[in-house]
Amino acid sequence: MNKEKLKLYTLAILRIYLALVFIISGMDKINDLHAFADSIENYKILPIYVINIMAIIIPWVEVISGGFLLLGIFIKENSLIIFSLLTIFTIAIIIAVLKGLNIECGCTGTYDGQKVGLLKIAENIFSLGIAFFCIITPRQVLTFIKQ
Amino acid sequence: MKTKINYSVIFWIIIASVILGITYNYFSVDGIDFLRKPTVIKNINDFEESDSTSIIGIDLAQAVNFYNTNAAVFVDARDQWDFSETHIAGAINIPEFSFEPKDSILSGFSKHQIFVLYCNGDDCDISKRLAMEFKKLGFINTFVFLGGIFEWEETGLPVEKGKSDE
Repeated sequence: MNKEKLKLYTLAILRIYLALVFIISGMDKINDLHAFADSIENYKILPIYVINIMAIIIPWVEVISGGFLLLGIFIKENSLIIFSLLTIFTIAIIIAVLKGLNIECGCTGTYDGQKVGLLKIAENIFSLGIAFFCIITPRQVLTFIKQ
Repeated sequence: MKTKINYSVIFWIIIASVILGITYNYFSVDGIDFLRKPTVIKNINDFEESDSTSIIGIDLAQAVNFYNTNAAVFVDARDQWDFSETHIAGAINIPEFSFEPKDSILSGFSKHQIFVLYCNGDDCDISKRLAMEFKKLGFINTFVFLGGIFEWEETGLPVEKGKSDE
């Protein structure tokens, strides 16, 4: 396998990993909207009246985008959606850390118990990197539809 | 080779998410209200035992009074990891995130038992949410110590480490 192919397949595997993370995370949130809404409220960033609307919609964006990304359909568009979500989540976590809030992240599912902190920020930056490379790489492999 | 981003695809994915989200939430037995309502916290002085719809917040002096007279059961609403790090001496741990209304811990208590719930401090809401669950179960003498473990520790009041006995 030449270098170019190795790069493409590495990116494809990372893309599938990112897609699975978002699908599982989204389904977990859909399964317990109350807990996800509580997690959003804990950040104390959004006005209280929009928290539930966000909790109702965001998990479905995660599942649909993750599903398309897994199948390799509209990779750039779905990577951009995931990149945008991750950017918002990361900013929220940074704000929470700076405020000194000791809250559960509510990121990958609602009951994972993971707290906001530097580890979570590092994980998100890694995922942001995957999404970014999926957006800028013109040719993709392991896709349902030929790119 | 297609390199441009098709923004109409993004638009339709978001529209689909909105429709699916609203539809699912409407038909789900665990659906939530579209508009979240702020938690109402009253002062203990305005408290009437029949008041089961709002949460009663208490300050440090009132919490200490309950503590010193052994009048209340102190409940730590944080997770078991936070609880094992430090908690109010004698408190029991009922993590809000895993609370089940049929929780066997509560079945042994009278509906008139006084509970003082707390979490970290002013910034955390889990004690308030757990208090609402207690109220729904009929435990009307449920209070929230707003200062939480932070204020309790700062004042040098008794704390202990270790897991819950429950």
